[in-house]
Amino acid sequence: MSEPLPNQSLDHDLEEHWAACHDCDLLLPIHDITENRVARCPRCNAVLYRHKKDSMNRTLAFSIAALLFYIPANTLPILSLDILGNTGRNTMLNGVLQLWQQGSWWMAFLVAACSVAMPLLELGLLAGITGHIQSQRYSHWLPKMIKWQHRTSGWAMLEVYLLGIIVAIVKMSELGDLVLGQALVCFVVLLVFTLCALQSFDRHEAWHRCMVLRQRAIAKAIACQ
Amino acid sequence: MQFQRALTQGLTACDECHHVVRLTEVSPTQSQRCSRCFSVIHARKPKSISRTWAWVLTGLILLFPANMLPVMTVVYLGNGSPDTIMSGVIHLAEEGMYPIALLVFIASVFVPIVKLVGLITLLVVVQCKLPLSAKQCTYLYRMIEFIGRWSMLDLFMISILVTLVDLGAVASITAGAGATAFASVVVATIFAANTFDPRLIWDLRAPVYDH
Repeated sequence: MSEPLPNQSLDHDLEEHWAACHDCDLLLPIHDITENRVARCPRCNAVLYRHKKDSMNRTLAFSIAALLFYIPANTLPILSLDILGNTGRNTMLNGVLQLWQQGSWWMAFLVAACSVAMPLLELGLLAGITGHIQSQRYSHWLPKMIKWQHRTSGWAMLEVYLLGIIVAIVKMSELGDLVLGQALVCFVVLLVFTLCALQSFDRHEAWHRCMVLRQRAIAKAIACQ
Repeated sequence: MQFQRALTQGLTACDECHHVVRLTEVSPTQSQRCSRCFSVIHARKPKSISRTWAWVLTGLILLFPANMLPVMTVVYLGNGSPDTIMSGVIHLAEEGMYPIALLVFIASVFVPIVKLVGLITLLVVVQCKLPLSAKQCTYLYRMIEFIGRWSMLDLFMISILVTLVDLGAVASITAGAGATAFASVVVATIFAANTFDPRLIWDLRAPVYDH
């Protein structure tokens, strides 16, 4: 089977017809895929795009739900340890502060970025993107937000932090009375909703909707003149 | 099945949004921008090989202090016992917590080394045009991209422990210089994976390649 190749006359609507695999640069015609199916590169098996059901709505709902749990998860104690009547409490924020005070500012910066700042940025961007699209509003921030969401995805590491909590629990359980705090529940809920929001987000569709909104905004601006 | 590279047709996918654009001639002072996300268009990631080498070598050099210096020091009644990454793993294993010891070993020792060796392999494949399976190299690259973040486990764990054990003169845990070096290794390898362009592996093939 050989696919027809694009020529110059197709240039103006390339985005409608062609995809290039981001891992192996294979040129492929875009086929409309049905819901919940995945389009993969036939040569290197990279995921090109997946159609997700009701993506914008679900992402908006999950990201707002996650944001509600963000502040308690960050400020309330996740774990507390009782040794000889003295209690040490861990919240996500005071872990960063403690490292900073000990002089490990580079570590404090990284932990703050990956476990506090990036998850908030990620959720904010997802809510911002889907909020704009769902309310049919175009602003010059929309393409920037989609771009930054793609750039920063991967730096929010809440699931790794959960593993860190588990290792800390195992290590410290013999030293004293270890109490799991309320924030642990908030943290797990935050993590689950964040993963759900990321899982239901369809960047391909977001770009498509963004372009439709931009064209509409341009047409409106021309009509007003 | 006949495969065609996008570049052969003068097309490329935007680095940022994967939108397909036609490469046009621009003067050296200007740069072409994506019509969808307005990012600068490059046919391939700019200076991919040298940038990846730079990050890989940085990671490789920092791997020594990361493993040799203490990552954290437990001070109990004035006596400090510094722990390196490996001695922490050994402590866990001695106490019979094998699954956790294995987990920490994989995340903190195994993964950084596998990432660096894997990236060096990919760089050598591209630079020396070794006839390795491009598909398997791409799988290796994807695995490197996926596992990188899990090395942060040790850092998060230290940030939790320093607050849990904070009893002033009785007992405290402080992060050591090794942890800073280890954090830098993790960041360097993540940047190395990001600057490497897997399309270079496929560029080694003839432009039209029959499968």
